Amino acid sequence: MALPDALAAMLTNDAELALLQRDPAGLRERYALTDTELAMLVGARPAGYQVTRRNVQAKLWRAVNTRLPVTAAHLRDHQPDLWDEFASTVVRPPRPVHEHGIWESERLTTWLVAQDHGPLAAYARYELERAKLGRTGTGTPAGLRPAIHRRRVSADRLLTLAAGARVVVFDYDVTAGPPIHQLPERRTHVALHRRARDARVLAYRINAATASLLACCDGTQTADQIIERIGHGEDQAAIRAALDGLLAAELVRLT
Amino acid sequence: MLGSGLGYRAELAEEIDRHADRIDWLEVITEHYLFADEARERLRLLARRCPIVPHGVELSIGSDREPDAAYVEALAGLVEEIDAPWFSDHLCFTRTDRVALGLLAPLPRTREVARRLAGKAQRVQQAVGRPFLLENITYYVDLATPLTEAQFIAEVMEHCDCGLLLDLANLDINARNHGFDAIEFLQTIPLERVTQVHLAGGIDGEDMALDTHGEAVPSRVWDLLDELVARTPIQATLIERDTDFPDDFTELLTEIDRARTALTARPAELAGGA
Ligand SMILES: [Fe+2]
Repeated sequence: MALPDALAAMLTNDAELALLQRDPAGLRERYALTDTELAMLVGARPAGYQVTRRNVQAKLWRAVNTRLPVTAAHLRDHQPDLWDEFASTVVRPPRPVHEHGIWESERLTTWLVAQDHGPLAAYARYELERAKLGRTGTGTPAGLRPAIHRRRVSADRLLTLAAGARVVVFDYDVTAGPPIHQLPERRTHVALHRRARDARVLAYRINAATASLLACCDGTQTADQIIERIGHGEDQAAIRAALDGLLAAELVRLT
Repeated sequence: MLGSGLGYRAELAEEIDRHADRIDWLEVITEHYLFADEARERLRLLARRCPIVPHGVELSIGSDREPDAAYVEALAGLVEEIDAPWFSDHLCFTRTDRVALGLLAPLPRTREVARRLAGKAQRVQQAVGRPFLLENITYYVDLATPLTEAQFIAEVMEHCDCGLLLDLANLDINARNHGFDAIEFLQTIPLERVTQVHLAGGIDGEDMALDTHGEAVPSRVWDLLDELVARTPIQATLIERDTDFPDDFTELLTEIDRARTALTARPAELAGGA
């Protein structure tokens, strides 16, 4: 039965919907509709298509909202035209149930980045990275808390970034938001971390030096090698302390 | 009889906890729990306190291809784990091979489509091992099909032994939007297959009545419930509220009470028929 294919296309794409009025024969050809099927589509009231088309877009918003709640609310409340522009172009592919909202959120984020929507694109990326790591917690601390220096890095073991951790760089300080339109424009490194058996994702604003330290924790170098490579003189003690801190915060593990 | 229940939503969780003694059972959205360990743990705890029914929105039983085997297997696991008396989904398609609408879309109402759907529903019921209830949707695109909606549902029921979840709000909205008689609809579908009812409120949009689940159940829908229970015994009613939750939860409790009263106030000749 070809009719569901045609109907699905018409409900997700304004151009396909317009074909029903403008060029029904073209629609029939494109979807290999029988005359009976075309008559079924033509016989439905236009208002019904319009209402359903709006509902499809509303469902798209809800799908994005499950993963990028702040970005979605911002678009709805402050930039509805931008949202409409995005929604009018999107045809969602079938995805497994447990990935609900991820494809749509990736698509929106890519689109916002490509269109250069500064702080909004940055925040969408921030939320997306968090969503991919796990469920977003609320009230997570921005800025690395003073670490409890109980664990010390051992000289001969390799350092690796924790499995549930990643470092992301933004041109806006996403940890200062929301509101999105007030995010300060400054290069900001953020370490995101989801610890084992904890659904929340913690966000730490880190400085560039810590970010490069974390980049060195790639499973190929020991603490001594890292210190040797990037430390000079008195810096070495500070770097060792920083590595101890990252280890205590479980952002880095010994392998 | 399961009694009078409420759709479980995160926004209502606290109040549902507080007034557990006034809610006979809960319906949850299947997809919120299928592959979610943490949510599943909470659901297990909830299921110890009252009956839970999983209500799906993504089975897409009307799609051309068979339902996703992994989905059905996970659904069977969920149903067993919470010992659900039945499970439900919609008479619709939500996706094709290429497009996910994320929305309950109407099917071409032909005998062929009805029979194919019935076969798939039967196989899902078999795989899950509990009664599968199929729900009538709200549709705004009214395809010019050979069968009316009621005839289509009757045809589906003729070819499987699944039950019906009759959404009376959807029936009321469809009847008004598409100009048919709701009572005639009730006279056409096999009412003895209706196990459960949905009750909800919508709004009147510019062109059409809209199913929002954001308003109180209107009197027209309550009247349909009375009409229905006067004709057939029903095991369960459910208030669906998804948006614009009332500040005062007693508004929902009052609706739950009213549904329970309607459910148990069957004419003498029907009493005991369940
Ligand atoms: Fe419903």
